Amino acid sequence: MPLRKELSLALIFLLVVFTGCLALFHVQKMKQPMVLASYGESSMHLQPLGEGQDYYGQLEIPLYYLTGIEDRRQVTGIVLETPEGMEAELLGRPFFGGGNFYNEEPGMLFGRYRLVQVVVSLTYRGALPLDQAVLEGAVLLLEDGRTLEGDFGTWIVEGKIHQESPLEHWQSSGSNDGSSSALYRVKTPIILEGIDSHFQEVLEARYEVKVNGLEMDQVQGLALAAGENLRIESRFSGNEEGALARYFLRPKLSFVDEMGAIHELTLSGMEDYQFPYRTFDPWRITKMLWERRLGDES
Amino acid sequence: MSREAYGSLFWGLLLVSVHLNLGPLRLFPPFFGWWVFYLGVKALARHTSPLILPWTPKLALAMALLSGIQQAWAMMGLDASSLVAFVLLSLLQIGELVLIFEVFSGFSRGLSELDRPEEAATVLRKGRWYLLLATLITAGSMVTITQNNGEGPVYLGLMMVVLKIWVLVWLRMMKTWDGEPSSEGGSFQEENMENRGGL
Repeated sequence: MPLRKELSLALIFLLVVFTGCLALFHVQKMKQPMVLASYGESSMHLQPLGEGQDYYGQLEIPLYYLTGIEDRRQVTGIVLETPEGMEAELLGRPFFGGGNFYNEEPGMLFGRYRLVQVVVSLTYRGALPLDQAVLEGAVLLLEDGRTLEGDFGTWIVEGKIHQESPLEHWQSSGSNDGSSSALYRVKTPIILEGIDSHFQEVLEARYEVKVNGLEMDQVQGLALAAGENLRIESRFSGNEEGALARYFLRPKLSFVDEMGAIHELTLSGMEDYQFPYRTFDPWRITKMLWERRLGDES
Repeated sequence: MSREAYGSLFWGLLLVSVHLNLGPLRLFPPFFGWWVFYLGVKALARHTSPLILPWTPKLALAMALLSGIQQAWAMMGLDASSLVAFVLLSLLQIGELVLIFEVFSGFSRGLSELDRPEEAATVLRKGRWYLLLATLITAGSMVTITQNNGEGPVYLGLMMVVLKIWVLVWLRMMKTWDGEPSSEGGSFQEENMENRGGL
């Protein structure tokens, strides 16, 4: 394939520049922190501070990001759009897996990357009980003045005022394989209205919930007598496309007691699926980062 | 040489260079411009004495395909700062540079065959100037885009527009010349070139 001399020189020069730019692109973008989408639903327990006074509640939620192993920048603040009466404050970077919760451990290491968790404290104080808050689009502020934006996912926070429940919690369990269960004992007769998760639509068939062996759409009208057990089992499967997302699912069970009062129970033990981390490895992280960088990052 | 061929090259490059949008749709998608350019290059390649290198039509066709992919990807929301956008843009710029230089070279070779060595040398000199400037602008674009330099790509883009206008003027002049003095007196003259398109 003949090429003219001057054209050959120009192409060699451009090839060198192009290769250098690709290397720069890698250094500058692939090593920059990238947030992980995080989908969670949680309840904020509200307490009235007194007759005619405000309601108060407090909740902590985690957010995650991946960054280069040598990146030691601290996250110093958070900008999160919250409903009136709610404030968000960054608590710090906790250690994974227990221990000293608010120390400055750098996070979990995966080859040349680290997974860092930051905890956001939400505080609500308002004249009316908090109904529901949908929290999206947080921006983390780094100590060097830069910001860290991206798809943080969605958190649904529901306000909940304490009321005597006809159900008594017995036990909950969760597993790294994505399955979990919760067992309740029925204290007084109830009729189930349904069970729901805000992220059912997002997660589609990958998230299954069964109540006493029944599918979600068969639950309505199920009557349970005092002394019976209520077992809720959930399973989360197929995590390839969600491997850079983390899910904190707490499905909500609705039922009517014998007095006709409607109760809503946010199920514990259904959250904290660890399996996305289990599937992390340096190669997969690199692949996912490239895909994210190539495609939908904005 | 063919007037039609240079006409196609002119209109092809013009369509590639003109950005007129109707909402999200580009009125003259670049792949259409490159297709017209490809027809022009193909016509030149058919000439009894090949004026351009044999792989040039294939490159023009590849440019049409590549720009079509870029357009489709952009409509699907390709982030302009992503790696794919950078690679596509770089490849398109390099391909354009090669094609245009080949057209200058081919035109110069045609003049040589007609025993017009001085004019041929002038055209080749113009082609080399184009090659030098386009190479620097393309390299500069790559660096500034990678560095996420906000204003750099804009200035370099403007410089590339000016350079393309200069090339379009030359392509127009090539079209008016078909190897022999025309009835309109439009023979290709060094003086004419210097006045209308000289750097």
